[in-house]
Amino acid sequence: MGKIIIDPVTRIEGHLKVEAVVEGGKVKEAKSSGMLFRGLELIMRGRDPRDAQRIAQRICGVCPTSHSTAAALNLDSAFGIADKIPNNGRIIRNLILGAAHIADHILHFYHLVALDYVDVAKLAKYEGNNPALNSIKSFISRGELGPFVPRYEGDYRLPDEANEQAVAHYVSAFDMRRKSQEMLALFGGKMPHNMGVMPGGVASIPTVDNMTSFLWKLKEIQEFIDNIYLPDVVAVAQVYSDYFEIGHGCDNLLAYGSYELDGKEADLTKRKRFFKPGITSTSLKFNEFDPAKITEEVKHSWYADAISGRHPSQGDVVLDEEKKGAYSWLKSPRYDGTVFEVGPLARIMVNYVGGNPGVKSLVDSALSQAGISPDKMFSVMGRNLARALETKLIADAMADWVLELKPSEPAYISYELPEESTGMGLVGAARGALGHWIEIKESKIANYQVITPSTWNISPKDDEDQPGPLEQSILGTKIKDEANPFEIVRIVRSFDPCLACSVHLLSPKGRDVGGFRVC
Amino acid sequence: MGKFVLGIGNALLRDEGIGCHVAHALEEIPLPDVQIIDGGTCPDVLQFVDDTDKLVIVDAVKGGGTPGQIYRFHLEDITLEQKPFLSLHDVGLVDNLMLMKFWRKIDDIVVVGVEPREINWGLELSPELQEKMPQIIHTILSELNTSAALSIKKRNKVRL
Repeated sequence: MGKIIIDPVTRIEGHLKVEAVVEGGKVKEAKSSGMLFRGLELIMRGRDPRDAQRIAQRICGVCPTSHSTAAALNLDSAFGIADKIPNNGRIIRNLILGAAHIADHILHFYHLVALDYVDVAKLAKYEGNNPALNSIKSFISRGELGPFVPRYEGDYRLPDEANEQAVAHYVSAFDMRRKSQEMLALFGGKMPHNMGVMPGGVASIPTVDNMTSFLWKLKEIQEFIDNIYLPDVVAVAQVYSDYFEIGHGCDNLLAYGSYELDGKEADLTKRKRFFKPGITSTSLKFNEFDPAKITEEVKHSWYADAISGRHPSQGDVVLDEEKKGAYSWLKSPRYDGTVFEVGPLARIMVNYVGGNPGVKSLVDSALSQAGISPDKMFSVMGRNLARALETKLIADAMADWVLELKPSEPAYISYELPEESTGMGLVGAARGALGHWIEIKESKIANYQVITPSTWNISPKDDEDQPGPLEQSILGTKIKDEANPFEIVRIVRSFDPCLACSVHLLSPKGRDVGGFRVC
Repeated sequence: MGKFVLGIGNALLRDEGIGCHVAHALEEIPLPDVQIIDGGTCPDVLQFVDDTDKLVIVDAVKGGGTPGQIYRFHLEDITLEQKPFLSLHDVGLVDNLMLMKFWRKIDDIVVVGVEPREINWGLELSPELQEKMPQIIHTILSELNTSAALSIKKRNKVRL
């Protein structure tokens, strides 16, 4: 019996840690832990509610836009203006979130997931004349493998030509990410911590100029998605079709819904959204979602048991660092006491079974290309595929939304700061259901609670000892080589985990910067 | 060709956010031809940098000195811990700089590092680092070779 620990902690101090106990070549026990305490809620208390917007997006350097959107929706509802956001504001928020979403998914596939399936090191023997590939070749020959190694050695199965093509796309994906960031900046302002999205709407006003540039950049990105990204994901899915059988997880999916299509409905669960909220499971039946059924449990987290089982609007931070049986700083969010996975897969499948015609036809065509049935989407490859399909759906919808903007009309409505109020902001972030809750007293933040998508997915066991979604995905997985557990790595990456972005400081080996002191 | 200053770090973790605080302080100084970027913990920040003859990176550096100690070095001068990454958050600065060489021509990348005292939840820098702000700014300005006449006051209050 062996124990596998995948722990990138020393690299960025305090992140996701995965432990798996292997017996007879199969995972018998799995634990996923968030190794950094997130004290954001404590920072918020006592501050001006309008600061929440600015502070919340610092939670994460990968997804600041999702947090600023959730915070804005949360404050809209607390300030009583959720049904008064001007159409321009509503649409520009969709465009800003969509641009971030696209950049994020492309980044995730090419710069993280692809490295599990595409062998970059093979390019050392490249003999063609593609300049991008030759620059990677010379990069590798100089021993500068930083972005590509060390890695877990996977089973690389792509034929040479497909492999080379994928590496070339890895290079062009960088340009697409930059284009989507530029697109975002047209309306969102300076990146990465944009100030564009705010309670009441957005800070910018649409003009014919920025609408045109937006569409121009979007068109190029749409071409990349249609002709390169989606085909690459499908090609990988075909070669690695066994990964439709691996990592299926807890079988329950939850989506909050995202991209507002109706500005006049204050209730987020009733509002018409491009991806509608709902829950589903491997039975492929659609069910309504009720945010009142969310709880956070802490039996296996370093928090006092007294706060277990609360709704996030009543959430608290009371530490119990010595707690026996605890192994994570993440709480365990549950819905109606049941374990749920969130993310692109949940959004796609909820809308697939919920009868969204655009989602249905795109998913059906991808399923037939990959030669699988819908229930196989509950898997490693299903998650990767759902992410790419969603990217296309969002990009195509954005092209229509831009044209609904009314140049020079307002995109913001002013509001009064209430003395006492509560609010809730639910959004489908790139990684899944993201919720912010606020309580305002004496015009200050009395309580602010955030449940991130990865808290759902990476959560530890709950009060009933039910393992979290990632833990369930890893359980039972066959491991070929314990020293090189790429099966687990592929499962983890398919969730696109994103814990509180923590410490980014440089830690030189052996403290060898001593000689470079200035003053 | 403009120059770039890129401050990185987590502004919610006190001294870890020194790069962000420095970026905001620099924004108040008129510096023609210098672009200041508060990169936060975004793994993608180098997307905001174009071809340049000078990129100054400001970050917290654990180098064993006393809190507020300023370091100046080139990345080639040091060796860093490397591990395979599991999430996008693990894609660190160094990986990004390596990737950068594909797409950008950057003649000189200098890191101005500051030894942190406290990495804990909070928005304020520790007093030692607040005290050191003028020297940190001066170090960066001389790196940028700027002739801007400056009087930099001690910053007791820092804001984002």
